[in-house]
Amino acid sequence: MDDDDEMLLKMAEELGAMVPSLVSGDKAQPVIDILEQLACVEETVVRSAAVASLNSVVGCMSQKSASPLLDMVKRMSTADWFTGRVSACGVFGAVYEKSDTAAKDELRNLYKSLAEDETPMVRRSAAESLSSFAMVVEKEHQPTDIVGIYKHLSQDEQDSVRQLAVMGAVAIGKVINDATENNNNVFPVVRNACNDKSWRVRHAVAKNYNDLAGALQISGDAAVEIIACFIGLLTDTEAEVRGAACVNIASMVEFAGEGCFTSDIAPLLDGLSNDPVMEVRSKLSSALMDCTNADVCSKLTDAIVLDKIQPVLEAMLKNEEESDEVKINILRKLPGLSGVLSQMSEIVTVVVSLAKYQLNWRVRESVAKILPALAEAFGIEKFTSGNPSYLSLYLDLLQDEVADVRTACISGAYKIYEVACSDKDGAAWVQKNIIGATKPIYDASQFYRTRITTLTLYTAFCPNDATPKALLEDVVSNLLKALDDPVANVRMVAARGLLALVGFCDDNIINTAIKPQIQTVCDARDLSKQDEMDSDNDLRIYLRKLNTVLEV
Amino acid sequence: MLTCQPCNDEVEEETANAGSYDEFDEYKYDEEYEEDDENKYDEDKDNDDDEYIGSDDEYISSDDEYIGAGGSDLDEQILRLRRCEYLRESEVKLLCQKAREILVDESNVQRVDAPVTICGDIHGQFYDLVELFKVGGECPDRNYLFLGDFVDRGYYSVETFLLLLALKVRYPDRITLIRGNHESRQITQVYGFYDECLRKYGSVNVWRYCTEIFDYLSLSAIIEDKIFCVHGGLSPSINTLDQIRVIDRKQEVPHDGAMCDLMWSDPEEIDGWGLSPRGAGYLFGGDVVEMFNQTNDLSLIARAHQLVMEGHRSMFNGALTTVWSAPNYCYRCGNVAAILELDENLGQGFKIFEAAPQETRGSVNKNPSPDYFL
Repeated sequence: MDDDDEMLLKMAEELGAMVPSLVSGDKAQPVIDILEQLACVEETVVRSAAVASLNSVVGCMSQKSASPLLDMVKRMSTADWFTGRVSACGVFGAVYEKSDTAAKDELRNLYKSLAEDETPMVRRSAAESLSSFAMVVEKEHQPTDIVGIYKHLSQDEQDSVRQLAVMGAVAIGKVINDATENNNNVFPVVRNACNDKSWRVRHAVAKNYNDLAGALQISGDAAVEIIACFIGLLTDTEAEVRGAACVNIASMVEFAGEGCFTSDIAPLLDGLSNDPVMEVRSKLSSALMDCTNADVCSKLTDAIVLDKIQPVLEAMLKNEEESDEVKINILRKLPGLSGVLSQMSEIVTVVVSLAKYQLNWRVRESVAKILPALAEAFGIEKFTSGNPSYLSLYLDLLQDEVADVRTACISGAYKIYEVACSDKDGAAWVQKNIIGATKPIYDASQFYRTRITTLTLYTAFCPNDATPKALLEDVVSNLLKALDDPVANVRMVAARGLLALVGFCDDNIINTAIKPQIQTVCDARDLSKQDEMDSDNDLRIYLRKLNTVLEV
Repeated sequence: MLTCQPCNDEVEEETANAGSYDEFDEYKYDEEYEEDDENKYDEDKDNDDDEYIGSDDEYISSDDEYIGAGGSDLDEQILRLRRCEYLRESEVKLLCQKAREILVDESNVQRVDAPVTICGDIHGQFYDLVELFKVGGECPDRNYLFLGDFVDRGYYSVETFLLLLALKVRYPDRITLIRGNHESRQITQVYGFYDECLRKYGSVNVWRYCTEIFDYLSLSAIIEDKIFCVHGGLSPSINTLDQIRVIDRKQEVPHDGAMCDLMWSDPEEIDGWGLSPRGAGYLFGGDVVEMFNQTNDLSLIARAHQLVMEGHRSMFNGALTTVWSAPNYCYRCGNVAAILELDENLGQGFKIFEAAPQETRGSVNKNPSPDYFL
């Protein structure tokens, strides 16, 4: 692409933006004329920008000023050089909408001739634009004209044309809106594509199978064949096709129901979960987790999840050879399963063991995020007891050497507190089991990381004014003490924490504990030295803010 | 050889005499360059008190309003940079002005307090820098010292350097940046940063602002008077830290002499000094390190500059350590990266990390495939 093309590209874009803000739609013919020229140049990006602009400009015109448009489409469709014919395909939809009946007949025939063009580039463009054209063609012409073009293109000798053509089924199926018609005329093309000799065509179908199946509006007995084709894609010889099909499992189950899953898909899971290609297993693990998510797939009962899906997930998690990506896919979505987690003791055991032996920190991070869900599923009693308990795992991960794992623990802290509250006195539980357990580590720490993590954790237990006074006092006293820490970062984190929760404190705490301590700390530091670049600059900023809040 | 710089044929070892560019023409080149350009700006190599960056007509004085004030603007810019969105040219200009106010006061041997985390070369690998912060913790909660080579090689030199610089301006006490051999006008024109600026901004102004700031970056750091941190290594013309303190650092990286050596030298299992295959700096042996550490009462030299497949490597009975923080260097070397965490008692702990997984990286620009692929 040289400098001239760069200029033409900008021109193609800007001309489209001129209408209707600068030039009204009905006076846009001169703009159209230039865009027509641009749509025929050599450079692809210029042409596609011109076609996009033509579409928007034509959309702004009224029917009465549209007669020159037909001539333009004719000129482009019969241009000697293929570039014009390629661009022509892209403007049919917009022009068709503005044309009268006679012109429409002509346009449909023109499109047919483009679909039969001798140049594959043109046929490819015709296949690509078929959906947008099909959307505006009247229903009565669909079976005769559009379906004819569709069938023709989907038997093209070039696989890239067939690949684009088959996706036309989504638009055509929706416009036809008739199960029998779709089943007789459109679906056979999709079925052929599922068995196409080119894997790229099969891949395109597999990737969009859910959209295709949904658009055809076929249900009941006729849907059996749709499922059969899907099963064929799941067992395709090419890994890319199998992987792309796997992505659709959850939505296909939603489409076809529980029976389809138990009788058709479930028997394949064992094979797919041992697929030699990791990509396939990764997509399968993700899809299976989606199957258990009621927002994506509501058709499977807990019993089926436990009976058919759980063993597959468990095997993948247990397999030491299995890649971390697959495991993380499962772990990340496990918290959504809190309803049945308590019945998945095997999986939970594996998950807990993963946190201990996994070198990949993203696995440990995922486990840290599951722990609040485990508290919810099993109750705070079971979370605390047991050997080793989930609580001890939580406290271990809180000391993890990777910052994001510790952050994951802290972000789940309040959830655990809530679970504790629903069972018994949550605040007392936190004070005894979490603050009580972390305080000795804090006091003995030689590393500011531990103290920062602990103070941030304490602050996370008091995100609103519903925090019981005893817990709030405990947290505040720890933060106040940390204002004297030898490391500046810890002092800053403590002041930041105080600022976050000082609004929830009552006058008693403020007057007896916070104010005197802040005063002492402020006296030791000259707050007016705001631009002095010493290590307590951040602390000073927070102290000033704290003072403002406390005065009010 | 301990230096495993070229782990792949396509990642050739950089030399001072980079590419076809003649090193001795550098200043001449710069002068010509300025003269040709309409937006002429002063090199001000001799006059450190000169107060402006950029062209005369856009003179902005260095009032205090640029420090401290605009904190929320800066916070917003940091948020954008963390998403790997680069700043507008005018924002870069202002950011560099603020950064200069801070950097100009730093010593050639900048004092840093423990605890601090020491990081080696980043080389424009933005998403791996994000990974570094995920593993090591966010600034300002944690303190960082970066040993230079922020730019070149990777795809995101602009975002990487601007993020680090913005953090420096926002939290001057929490992060220290020192200069590497790639923080140079000459090297960045060969190894990618110049081209990246031109591609992303359509002009070289941002490259100018950034290279101007490079001249202000400190040459080295000293942690609690015990650990000396530098990008490359030692120099035969330097025996004491005071000799570094008196260098006039506000200039392009020279081709020889003390300042050049600090950024270019490499340790090697030899006695005394040796010629460097890089064409700049020297090779220095264990006896040199021992002598330097003894003279200056140091316990450790921490440096970067050389790819280490394991992320870090200790030499000379622990008297020197190399830290490398660009995992899968150049997106192909397959190495892991490391950062060195020092606790408040100077206890050392390395943290190893791998390249950020694909899913966390932004999507690559997708160009429509042309018609002729059929």
